[in-house]
Order: sequence, then C-alpha cells, then structure tokens
Amino acid sequence: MSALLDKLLSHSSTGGTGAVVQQMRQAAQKSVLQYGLPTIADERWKYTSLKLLERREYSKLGAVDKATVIRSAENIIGDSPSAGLVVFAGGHCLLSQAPEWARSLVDVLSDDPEAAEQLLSADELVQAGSSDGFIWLNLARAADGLIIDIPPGVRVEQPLHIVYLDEDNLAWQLRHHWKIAAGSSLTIVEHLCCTGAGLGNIYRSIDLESDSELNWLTMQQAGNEFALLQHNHLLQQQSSSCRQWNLDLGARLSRQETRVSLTEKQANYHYGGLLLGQQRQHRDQQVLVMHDAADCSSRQNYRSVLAGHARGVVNTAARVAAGADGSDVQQNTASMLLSNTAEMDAKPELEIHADEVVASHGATIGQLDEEALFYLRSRGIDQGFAKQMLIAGFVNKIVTGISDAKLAAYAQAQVQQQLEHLL
Amino acid sequence: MLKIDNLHVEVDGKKILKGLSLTVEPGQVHAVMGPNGAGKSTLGNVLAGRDGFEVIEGSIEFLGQDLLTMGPDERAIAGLFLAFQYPVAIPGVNNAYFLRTALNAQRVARGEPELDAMGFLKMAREQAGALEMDDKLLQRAVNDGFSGGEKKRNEILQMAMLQPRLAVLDETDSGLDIDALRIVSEGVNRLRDAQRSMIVITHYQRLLDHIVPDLVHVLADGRIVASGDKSLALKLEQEGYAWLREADLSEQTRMAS
Amino acid sequence: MSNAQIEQLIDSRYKHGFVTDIDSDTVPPGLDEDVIRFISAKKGEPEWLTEWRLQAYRHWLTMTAPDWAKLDVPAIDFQAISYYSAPKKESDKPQSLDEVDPKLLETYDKLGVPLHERARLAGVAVDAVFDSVSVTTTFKEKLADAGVIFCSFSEAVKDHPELVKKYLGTVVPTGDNFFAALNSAVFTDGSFVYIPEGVRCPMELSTYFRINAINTGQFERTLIIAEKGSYVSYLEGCTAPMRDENQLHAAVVELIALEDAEIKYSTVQNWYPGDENGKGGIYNFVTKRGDCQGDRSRISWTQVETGSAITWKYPSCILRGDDSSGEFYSVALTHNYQQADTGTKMIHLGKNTKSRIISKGISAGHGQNSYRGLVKVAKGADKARNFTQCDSLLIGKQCGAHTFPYIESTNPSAQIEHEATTSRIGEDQLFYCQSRGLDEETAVAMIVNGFCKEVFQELPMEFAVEARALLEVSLEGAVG
Repeated sequence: MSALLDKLLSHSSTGGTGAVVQQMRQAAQKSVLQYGLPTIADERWKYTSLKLLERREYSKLGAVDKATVIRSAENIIGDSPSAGLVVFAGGHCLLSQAPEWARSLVDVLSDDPEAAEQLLSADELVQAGSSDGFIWLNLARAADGLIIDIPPGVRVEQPLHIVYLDEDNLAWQLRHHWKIAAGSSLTIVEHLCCTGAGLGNIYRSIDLESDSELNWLTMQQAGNEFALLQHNHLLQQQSSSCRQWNLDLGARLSRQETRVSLTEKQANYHYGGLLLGQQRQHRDQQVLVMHDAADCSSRQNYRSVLAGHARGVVNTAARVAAGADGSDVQQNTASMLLSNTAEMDAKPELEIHADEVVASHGATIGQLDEEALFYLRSRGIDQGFAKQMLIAGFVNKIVTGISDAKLAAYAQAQVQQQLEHLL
Repeated sequence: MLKIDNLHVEVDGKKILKGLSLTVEPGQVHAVMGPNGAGKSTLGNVLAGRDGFEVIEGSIEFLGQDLLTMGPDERAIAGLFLAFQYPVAIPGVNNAYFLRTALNAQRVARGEPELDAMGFLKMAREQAGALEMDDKLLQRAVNDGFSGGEKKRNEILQMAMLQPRLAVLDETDSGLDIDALRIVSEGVNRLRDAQRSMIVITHYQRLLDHIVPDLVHVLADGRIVASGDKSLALKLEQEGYAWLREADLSEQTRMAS
Repeated sequence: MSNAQIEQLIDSRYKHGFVTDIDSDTVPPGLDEDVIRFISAKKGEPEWLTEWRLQAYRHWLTMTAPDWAKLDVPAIDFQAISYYSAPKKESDKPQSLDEVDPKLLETYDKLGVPLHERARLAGVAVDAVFDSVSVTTTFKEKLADAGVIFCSFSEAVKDHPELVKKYLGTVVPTGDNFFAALNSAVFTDGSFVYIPEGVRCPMELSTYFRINAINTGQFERTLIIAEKGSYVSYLEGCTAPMRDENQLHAAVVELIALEDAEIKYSTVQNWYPGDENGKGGIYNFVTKRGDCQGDRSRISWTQVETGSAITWKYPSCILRGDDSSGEFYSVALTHNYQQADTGTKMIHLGKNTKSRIISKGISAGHGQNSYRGLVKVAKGADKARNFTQCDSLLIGKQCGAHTFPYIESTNPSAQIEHEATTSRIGEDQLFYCQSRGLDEETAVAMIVNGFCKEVFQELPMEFAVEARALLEVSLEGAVG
C-alpha cells in the first residue's frame, strides 16, 4: 500500500449508519486495497503522477464555524442571484437558504438510510467495478456530499451555488448524487476555492431523466498548493441535455475524469473546458462520452494556455456503440504553449462502431500567432497587451459558450484575472 | 514626412530591396507600381516593421524620427498606418474592441483623453456607414469570416478612425469588384488633406483612376527605376512593364532622383 | 454459373491463394537457444551475430506480448512454430534463373512476378525471398556500377559484416518490443541496401515476400542505409497462399538516412486475410522505423495494407537531424473479420523538423480498423511542424473505425495540427454513380479510390495500379 493511501485512509472517517451502507463502505475499502491508487502505468493516469502528494502530510478533519464559513462563501458569489447556497468546508456540507430538493449526504444517511443505500448502490460505476482506487476510496470514506433530487416538471430559474472552502492541509472525500427528474431543469455553479495544501477527492453521480436539462459551470480557482481529484459520471436519458463548462484555473494539481453515458436517443452533451496553467501547475482532463443510443450529439471543446512549467493533459474520447446511428460527435482541442518549459499532451480519441455517424476531431498545439500579433501592433497596441488580447480571444470560444449571460460575464472576469497573472 | 535612403532589405537571406530611395512630402500621394516580385509588398512591410524583413543598409526617417529603431506599435503611434494586402483574421477578438483599444492606445500616447465605449461606437458607426459597411461587422471577430471586400473596407475603416499621418495602402484594390473599389477609394480620398501623405502600392493602374496620385514610381528588381506623373501609370497600363527593361534605365533613374 | 466461372470467381477473391509443393529443410517446431544456434550456424554467421541473437532471445523471454492495441489476438503458441525452413538445395544456391527450381519460377509466374521479364522491363532489381532464403538477385551488376549494395541479408553478413555490425539494431534495438526481440533472435533472411554518398539509386528496389511452408513463421530483417546526399526508393510487396492455420509474421525494418539523404519506402501488403468467417489469415506484427540521423534527411513511408487477419504495425521516424522530415501515408483496409491497428510515431528531436501523416482507414464487413499514432516534440525541436489527417470510411453496420492519436509537445515554437473525420459512403454519392450506369461495386470501388487518392499518389506508378486493383478485390462483397 502506498504511503499516500495509508495517509488518506487514516485521516478520514467511515461515517454513515445502517448495516448495508457499512457493508458497502467496507467492500469499497477492500477494493481500494486491492487496486491501490493509480500509477502512470495506468493508461488514463499516464501523464499524472501522484509523487508530489506522497510527500505531503494531511490534518484530520474537524468542526467548522458555520456562520463564518457561510459568510465567506457569500462574499465569493457576491450578489449573483441564487436558488440556494451550499458550502463545503472541513469535509462538511453546510446548507444556507437551501431548497427542499437539496440535502446533505450525512443527513440522508442518518434520516433515510434506505434511500442512501439505494443512491450509493445504484451508481453504475460502483456496479461495473472500476479499477481506479480513488473511486473506491471515495465510496469508502466520503465524509459528506450533496444530494439533489429535483421532482418532475420543476424548472429552477436561479442557479444553485456550491462553494468549496478550506484553508488547511485537509484531505477529504465528498460524494454528490444529483438527480433531475423528467422535464425539470437546473443550473449549478461550483466555486472551488480551497487555499491550503489539501487534497480533495470529489465524486459526482448525475442522473438526467428524459427531457431534463442541466447547465453546470465549474470554476476551479483553488490555491496554488491544493490538489483536486474528481470523477464525474453522468447518465442521460431521452432528450436530456447537459451543458457543462469547466474552467480549470487554479490548484497545483487538478485532475478530472468525466464519463457520460447517453443511454437513450436524442440526448445531448456539450462540454467546454478551459485550462490555464502557470508555474508548476498540472492539469489533467479526461472526458469519455459513450453514445449508446441513436441520434445523440456530443461536443467537446477545449482551450488550453500553459505558461511557466505548467503541464496540461486533455484526453477527449467518444465511443459510438453499434446501432447508435445518427450520432453526431465533435471534438476540438486547441492549446497554446507560452514558455519553453510548459508541456501539453492531447489525445483525442474516436471509437466508432456504427456507420451512420458524423464524427470528427481536431487538435492543435502552437503558440501565439505572429501574424496576428504584428497586425495588432501595427495598429498601435503594445506587445504585452496585444498578447493578452490574443490569448483572451483564443479562450473566448469556451467562455462565450456559457448560455447564461450573467454567468458568462462573471466567468469572463475570473478568466481575465487569471490571464493577467499568466503573462 | 518620409525619407527612405538607399534601402537594402533581405528576406530569408534573399535580397529583395536593393537601394530603394523615396521621399514623400506632407499632403502628397505617391503610387508605387511594378511587376510581381519587384519588392512592392516588402516596402510596405518594412515601413510597418514586420519581423523577418532585415534592413542591411540604408535608412528611413519618418517625421524626423529614425523609423528603423521603432517597434510596429511605436510606428503606429507615431502616425504610420499600413493597410494590409492580406488583413489577418483573429478569431475570438471582437472587432470593435480591437479598434477601440488601438485608438485609445494612440490617444493616450498623444496625451488625449480615452474615448468611452459610447463615443467610440458612434464614431465607428458613422465611419462604417460612409464605407457602406454592415454595422454587424463591428461586433464580429476581427476579419474572421469576412469576405475579401469586407476585409479591405475594415482596413479603411481603421485608417479613418486612427487618422494616420502616413498611410501605406498595400494592394488595397486586389480582390475588389468595381463598386467596392469605388467605395474604398472614396473612403481613402476623404482622408486626403494637406498634412496627410499616402503611398499607394498597386499592380494595376485602375485604382489610380480613383485615387489620383501626385507622383508615380516604378519599382523593379528592388529599386525605383522610373518616376513620373500620372501619365506614367497609363503608359504602364498600355505597354506593360516590358518596355522598362528595354529603355535606358539608368537615364530614367537619374531623372527620378 | 459454370464450374469454370465459379473457379474464376474464387480465384479472383484471393488470386494469390495456392500452394507450391517443395520439400522444405525445416527444423521441428519449438524455440530454445539450440534452435537459434542452429539457425545462426546454418547461415554460417560470425560469433558476434550468434551472440546478438541469443541476447535478444534472453530479453524476449522476459517480455510479454503487447496488449494495448485494439486487437483481439488469439494466444500464439511460440513453441508450435518452426523457426527455420529453406529450399532443399541450400548448399548449391542457384546462380542464375536457369538454375532455379522450375516450380519456383512457376510460383512467381502465378504471383505475377516473372523475375526475368518483369524485372528487366520495369527496370527493377528483385531480391525475392522464397520462404526464408534468398534465391536470386538480379540487376546486381548495374547497381554495383553505381556502388549500390543490394543483397539478401545473409549475403550482407558474409560480404559486408562491418556495415551490418555498425547499423544492425541501432534503430530498432533488440529489446524494443516483444516482436522485435523475437525477430532479432530468429530472423532468417531479408534485404540489405547500402547507398554510398551522393549516389541516386538508378532504379527502384523491390522485394517480394511469400510465406509458403505450413506453420513457418516469417521473420525478415531489412536494413537500409543511405549515406550522405544519397537517394533510394524501395518497394516491398507481399502475397501469401491460402491456409487455414494462422501464420505469424514479425518483420523488422530499419532505415538510416544520413545528411541530405532520402529514403522512400513503399509497401503493398496483401498477406492472406483469412476467409469470410474469420478463419485463417496471417498475423502481421511488424516493427518498422527510420532514423533521420543527418541534417536535412528525409524518410517517407507509404503503405497499402489490405491483407492479414491481424495487422500491428507503426512505421515511424526519429527526426534527429535539423531540418529533417518524416512522412507517413497509409491506406488500411479491413474486411470480413480482419483487424488492423496501425499508424506511426513521429519523434521530433532536431530543429525545424517536419512531419506529415495522412492515414485512410476503410472498414467493411466485421472489420476493425484503428489508427494509433504519436507525435512528440522534444524540448530542443524548435519550430517543429506536424500535420496529421486521419480519415475513416465505414461500409456496413458491423465494422468499426477508431482513432487514437497521442500528441505531446514541450516546445512553444512547435506547430502541431491534427484532424480526423469519420464518415460512410454517402447514399447520394452512390446514387449519383449508379444513375450514370455504374454498378454498386464499381461505384464503391471508385469512391474508395478517391478517398485514398492522397496516399496512392505517393506510390510509384506500377505500385499505385496494383494497389487500386487490390482494394477492389479486397472490397468484393462488401456492399449489397
């Protein structure tokens, strides 16, 4: 067993009541020990090493002052309109003005053990048996999480904000189960703002029933020492729609693996990812979309800008199953390296087993366009600002894709701030 | 205004300009014509300060300053403007934002107050209107997906907004149909005044029917081999460039200088 | 349909499927150090080469067959394979075509490779490998005049040991991968080409390979060295007889291009693909790699892969010299139950290095076709350029087309572009062709040929014609 796994197991609890949940947790722990944590020998972890994390020490989770934490979170979201605020600090889920369809995992575990069992066991990845130790570690040791269960036909107008705050070197696992029932819609905005040298392991299981809609913006702006590992699993039913924007701006190490199953016809999944990296930051984004039904569409767009010693990894994959005719798949990854010591690894994969399919991918890696830079300068714009304009233009495709204008403006401001640091 | 003296320029180790001299006075419009490969576009690029055009000999003085020591943006701020033969598309960068940034950079450098978004937009719309240019082009990405004609109009729009002291128009007529040529030329003519000079680089004389030059120069093999008034352009139109080689070039050059 | 017609049809399905009956001098199946010593002794090899083989063998024992490709490979029993077979009269090798066993010549006739005629007519020197031993080589004199060495690998070991020793295993080391290690241990023959400084090889060089004896793996070894400022174009074509039992083929090809040298390597691969139920067929595990050692050197791989039950092949370029360039043009077709996992690696090390990858995959029937590639730009490879275009064409509902490109850059001045599309033959395209009087098969062949055009135009003329014909034969029965 690795030193890291040892530390992670000794620093987290196995909360939850009910014999079945306990059993599930114990079985998951067995799996962690069986598989261990992933190494660069695993294809999906080929470019991300956990060496940095091995050397670190983590503190135990403790109590937090709810009022203080909520106030800090409110400062972060500012006066953005909201359907509610959920804050995670010290591994706890704190709800403020939360709607009735949102509960903490801890509450569900204690109030409604049967529902909790169902939630945890129904997850497909758990059933299918992943070999990624972090997925099992999460199930074995998740301290808390957010359970969303939107009843049919409810369209939530304002976004639900989720803020992650921590200042210490805490290591936690959080587990979310979000379900949007038929015909409902929800917008989620996540702000990952932890600042310590901690480690976060988030697992999201997202269930979109027919004709439902999820707009989901994640702004990862964690501090320069934080390490964040995320797994998402989306299950989409007929005509459901998910639009995800993932702005990966902060943290020393951030890795996210998203698996989308389009299980019924006419579902669509649109993904926009932005990676900004500087210093020794490491970003690894893995997205796999499985077209298992006919007439579904998926888009995966990435823009990466890497400076300093930063390294970016983008692996976009789409798998079209036999019979999934009418699938429409597009992947586009464009990356820019701003320094001699930055590195980019891209792997756009297509696996096609049906013939009535439109599928394409494009990937480019390059630097600032010299022609464009000269053009801007010939109009009197100085070199520094011209570069900034060009980079902003380069990443714009992702940010302007955000459907809600207010969210887009908010995101743009955050990105702009990061860009200024980058240059 | 502009004094180019014995300019020698290399591109990728190949000599393109071989001793070009040219003096432009305030208010003058000079046409530079010549066969393909003579070095016409090189002249425009060297004036604007593009990388890769290496000046190995000679000097360029612009409004009393040594142009060759200045970066492209400094030249623009000093009042030089190049209308590109192939305007560059910049996806993701809003055209109006780009133009306003450029305009304000120049205004600030000149000690003038920045123009706010409203003031700028009003001015840009007026100028765009005069060029019969669709307003919507202001809100698109710079030259991205523009037609050839739209790109050229966008160049002249920038020129009208930036009000340069010296404008270099590099093959501005290429790719324009008759109507667009007229509109673009009218735009240029509106900017002619006693203080502003222009260098019009073109392969064909048809543009000079619209923008009537004070002087016409023929550029061949990296040097100006003949200079004259507008009739020289007409002669070139009728007889092509071949007669230049047969004529006594040295005499023509002497006349020019 | 008459019997003759049926026979003709079968013949055209797999034109080159037949067996020639020649007694082989074959070792019993199995592999150990003694077998390797036997092969080495039989070929009269020097001690260092025997030792080199044994080292490779010992390394191989520690390795496992790769499983990362998208291939379903049945377990191969390496002890069930016979590692050496040669035509009977090995001691007195034929010196001219007259001395060649007439049955052998007949075989070449059926293959459409009449050495004495076609070779001369086409101005091509042919080094034909029948089973594992080189039988005859023509045009030697003309090549010798230019200073070009073109001979079987065994001859090269005898006549030019210093060159073989200097370059063998420098591009593909013995322990590079499982199949390269196996090849290094047991290779029996292959081709050797050496182009001296400043020489433009006066003709296209070609080799025809052929598997004949039952259960005999083929382990060719090819080594091509182009000295400074030289040029060579090398053609390789393969056909194999129809068999029920699977046969293993694990060749290694090493190319070395020094300063300003250019090597063009073209392949038409038409090993037996197995029948329409996926029975039989060749397993083709090939390691091909070129080293652009010198500045401004250039290596170009062109391949048309229509045969084999399983193809595992990644002809690659190490772009070491400044301003060197590598190219990869590929057409891979899988029909029935064929599987192909093929592509290239372009490793940019030198400054201003360029690479270009054009890959066309066609899947029909139950065929599975994957492009797998790596474009890597190292820190020092300033201004490296890569362009990759990967297109897949699907014909039918049971087949698969996959793309797995790895793109890794650590240099900000590098420019890398990768594009990929997957499509099927459009009904409107088919209808348009049919409305002009073409039957469906002809129309499909025409559309597929158009799809592959960028690759075909890289092939030498005679090969291009052959490749086109091959695609048509290979696609028979793919539609309707």
